[in-house]
Amino acid sequence: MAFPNYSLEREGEMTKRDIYSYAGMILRVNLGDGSFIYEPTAKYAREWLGGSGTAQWILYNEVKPWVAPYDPANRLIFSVGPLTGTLAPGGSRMSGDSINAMTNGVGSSNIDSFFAGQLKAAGFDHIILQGRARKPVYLWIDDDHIEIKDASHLWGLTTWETADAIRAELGDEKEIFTISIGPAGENLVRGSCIIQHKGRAMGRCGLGGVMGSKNLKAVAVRGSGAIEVADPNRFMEAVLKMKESYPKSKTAILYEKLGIPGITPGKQEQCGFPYKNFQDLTLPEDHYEAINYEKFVNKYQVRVQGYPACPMPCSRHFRISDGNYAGLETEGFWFEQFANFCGKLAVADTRFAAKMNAYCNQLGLDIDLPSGSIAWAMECFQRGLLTQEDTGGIKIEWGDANAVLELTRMIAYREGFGAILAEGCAKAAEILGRGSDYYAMHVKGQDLYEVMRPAIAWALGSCVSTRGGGHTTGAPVSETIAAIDQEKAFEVLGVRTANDPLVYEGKAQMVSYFEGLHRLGNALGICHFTTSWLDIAFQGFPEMAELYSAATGWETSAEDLKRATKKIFNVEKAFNVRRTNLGRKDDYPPPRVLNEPIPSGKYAGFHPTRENWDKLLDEYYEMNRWDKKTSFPTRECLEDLNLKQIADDLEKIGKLGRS
Amino acid sequence: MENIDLIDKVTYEAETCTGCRSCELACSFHHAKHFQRGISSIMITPFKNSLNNAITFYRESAANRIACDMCKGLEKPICLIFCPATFREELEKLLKAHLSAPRDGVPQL
Repeated sequence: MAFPNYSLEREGEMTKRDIYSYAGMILRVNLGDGSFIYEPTAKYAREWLGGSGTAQWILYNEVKPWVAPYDPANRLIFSVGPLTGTLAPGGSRMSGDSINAMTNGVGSSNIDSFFAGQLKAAGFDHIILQGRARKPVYLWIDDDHIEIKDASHLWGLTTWETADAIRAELGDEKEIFTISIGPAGENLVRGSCIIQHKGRAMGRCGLGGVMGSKNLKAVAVRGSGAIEVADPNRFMEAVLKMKESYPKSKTAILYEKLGIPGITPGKQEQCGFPYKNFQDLTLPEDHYEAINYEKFVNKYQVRVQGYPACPMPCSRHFRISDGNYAGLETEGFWFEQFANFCGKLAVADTRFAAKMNAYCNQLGLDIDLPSGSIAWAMECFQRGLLTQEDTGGIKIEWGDANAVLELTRMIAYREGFGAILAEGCAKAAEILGRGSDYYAMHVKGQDLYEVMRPAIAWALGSCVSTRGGGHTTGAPVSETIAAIDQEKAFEVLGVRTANDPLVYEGKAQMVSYFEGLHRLGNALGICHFTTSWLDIAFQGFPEMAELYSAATGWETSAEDLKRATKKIFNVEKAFNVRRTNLGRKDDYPPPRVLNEPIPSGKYAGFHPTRENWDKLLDEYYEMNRWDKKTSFPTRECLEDLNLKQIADDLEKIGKLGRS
Repeated sequence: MENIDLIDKVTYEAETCTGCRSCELACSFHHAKHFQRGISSIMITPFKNSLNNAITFYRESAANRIACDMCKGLEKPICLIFCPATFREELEKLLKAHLSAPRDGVPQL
């Protein structure tokens, strides 16, 4: 296909050299007719920072409210940030943004990856994909060579097979990285995801199906260009200064030693396991013994895996040498896999978590989707709401690993009862009825892994999340960490309750801080684990302001960045308000959380009450200057952020918040 | 352009290397004050399709590569600063070893 020679100079726009630390270009591809154009990143960079920030603004403006997730008119945007591909700690992040197939609102999901650095070195900060290809295709970006290639022979393959096939086909086993969908994305499974190479999922929000609806199997990229920062010496000084905080951190030491599942004992002690679909939050003693993570690491770990510029590599490669899954080689995982498969589904075998993680990655399924909807089905089975007659003969009982594997396959291919589970637990409960919605553990239609009973801020952050559930858009982790630096926490967060999981005081403020910080990471291309989200001593707004200023040459303060993230956050909120009927009623935890005391463990007897949650939401909305009754942003809030256009848009449809 | 295969370089299998490739970015920064993997004196690749990685040191400037100068002028090589703790000591040994390895050899550790 011919490359339309779109010269920016000819258009009189800013050129690449006018902007430091960004790649400089946006690639916009219309899959419908195979055409593509370049646009300058500078059009957005200063106001929206880049990454997910810029992508959300583009989505708000270009995706009309009536467009559905799988419509050709929907946009799927892949983005890197200004610090991606540099040595800024954790600078390997990329983001996928689109309409959320689970909620119909904000969809944003991000990963650390090698793809991100390659894309940026190829010269692009964003790829905007629109339209729908007539037949399966993949996009091949080799520096300035852009090609839409036939993918008929790849359709139906797993993500692992796709990554291998594309590397073989393009003749480079080293530098080409892919993001691809598996059968789940092709079959428009609502909770399908996009996988980078063979691990790392843009998991939540169902972006895999959006990619599938566009007939886009994969994007492959190789880049050789340079990323230039404005003031190299100042930048490197800031990086080295920031790096000093990691070796001193207990959390970083634990992650280096064991990876993130190293927090398993802490989670067990702090009522942090969603055992049997969140019925209890502590594992029975024998079950806990059976999933000893340290033993698992010692037995099966091949090596540690890190991503570019990571100061504390947390991933692992495992080779399972015995049992039913002997021979499996896979990149390892987070605590979430343990919580989901060994906790939520009660399978007492750590090897099963590895197997399911690999299987979901191959099929291109977000692990929270099968674990969420199968856990719901298991509880319905337990309570007699669901029988073998409904499931096509499959018994869905707690801890049955083979049944879980079979159901997961059926979800990915939308076979039989799997087609119902493929919708996620919220929609599956609506299809089944019989009062089963009480057991659907979700927020805004998206399945949960987040335990919400002991930790109030963690629960609030997950509940008010614009993308629906999830703990990486504002939920603080500090509440369940016993030893935190109280003084530093007070300095950064302004509260003295940062590690008290049962109190409400200060929690809205904490969530508000992390909502900003996460958006900053997603916009600049920084991994959350390297920020003050994980350890209060790590980089926060002031440190990232210094990195950003040195990198771009645009003098930017911590306050400037806070304001920019507030803007991005309100754009997301407005996207939800304009497109969906989500509102205050959707910012509550599932009924189980508000009604059932924790059965056992350290916090036995505790649960948040509706009355307290009401007050917490009032405080949170007031802090955001949103309407307490509806949760909608007010004109004052939006105009102060220079978002008058959004205030007008919301007023037009009668959904502007009242102050 | 010179054939990159003929450049003087030396490759080691690196069992515990995390494959993060931060060293490549750091190395390019040392040479050129910007980030560009392809010019680095150090290169990380998968080792013979195994889960392990291989480390290559370029000892001659050719094609796009710039020869390793052991970060002359710096307190210690910059790749060591950015190498994760799990592999740092090993990398230090390899850095020393490559200085005395024979041309185009594939030394075994």
